[in-house]
Amino acid sequence: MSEGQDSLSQLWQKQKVEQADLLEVTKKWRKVRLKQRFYVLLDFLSLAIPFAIIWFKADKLDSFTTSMLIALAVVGVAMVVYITWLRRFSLGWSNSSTEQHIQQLQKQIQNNIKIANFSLQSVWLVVILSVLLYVCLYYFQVFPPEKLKDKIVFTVSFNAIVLPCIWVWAARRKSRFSRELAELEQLLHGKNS
Amino acid sequence: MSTDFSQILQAHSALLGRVAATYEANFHLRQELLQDITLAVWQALQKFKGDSSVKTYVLRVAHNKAITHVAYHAKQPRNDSYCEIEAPKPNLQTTTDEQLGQQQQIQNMLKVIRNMPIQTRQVVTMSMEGLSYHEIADACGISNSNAGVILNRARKVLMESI
Repeated sequence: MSEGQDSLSQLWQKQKVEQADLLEVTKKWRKVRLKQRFYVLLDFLSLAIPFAIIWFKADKLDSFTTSMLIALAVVGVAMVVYITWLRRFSLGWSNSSTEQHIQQLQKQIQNNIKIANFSLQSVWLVVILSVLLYVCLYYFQVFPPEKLKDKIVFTVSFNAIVLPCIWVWAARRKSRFSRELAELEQLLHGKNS
Repeated sequence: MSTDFSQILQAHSALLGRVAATYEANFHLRQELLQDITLAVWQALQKFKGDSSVKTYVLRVAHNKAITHVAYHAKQPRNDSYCEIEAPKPNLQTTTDEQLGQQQQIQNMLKVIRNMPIQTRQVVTMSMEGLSYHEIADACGISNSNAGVILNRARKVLMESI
């Protein structure tokens, strides 16, 4: 080691630093683990609901509604699998080399942008699916006209309130992840402090 | 938390504090980063297979976590203006001029390091933590000669800054 490097190292080691509170770290870990389990539970519940309806209400459901619920459940499973796959790099810590870690991090942020975009586009998909659903319900005469009208009013009102919120939320997430990716690029090239 | 892991974390706590200081100038964000790094290291220690020294392994995980942290905090400014406290102020009554000068040099050095590309930051700080070229290259995922080139350039810049 050269003298210059030695003096730099000595100076570096004299730095006054804060120390982590290990008790706080343990508490944080419990909180993180609880949060992760809660998310898994939410994913499971969102998938279980259509199956539960089919299971418990099978005798009261007509064949069209049953088919729709099965299709919804299958699409739901596929979506959860796809989103989990896109999130795979964000699970936990990384002990790989930093070069690999940075590549994974870039990939993860790109995937987060894909997930946000997916949420954004799903708004249009819900509108189209709702229209298709009610066309089918009308065509197969699943409900009496009055009941169908009530259901349409409810769905349109629900979509008018909820879908714009999802749109804004997803658009913000997309722009946040894009900013994070740009920030990471800057950090890699040393333009940020 | 197992006693062994606690002991390892205690033994490396100052080192982890220095890694956090390499990436965050802001006092509050640095505290948050330090907690995140410590948690990541604690989790990672459970998978430690002894392929490298504990210190190298701890530094690798800590730097990886710090990079993730700074990338995911793009919204927040990472400079001194974000909060009033950048670092705990030294006690002026018991601090000599020499110590004050030294702390000033360290602050200058940190400012320069925080402006460096991530890979350069990692190489230079790992070197100042006493890691060999081989250990640095292994942790960063680059060749020994590349680590040497990066280190020599960074060292020149740092010497000029202090």
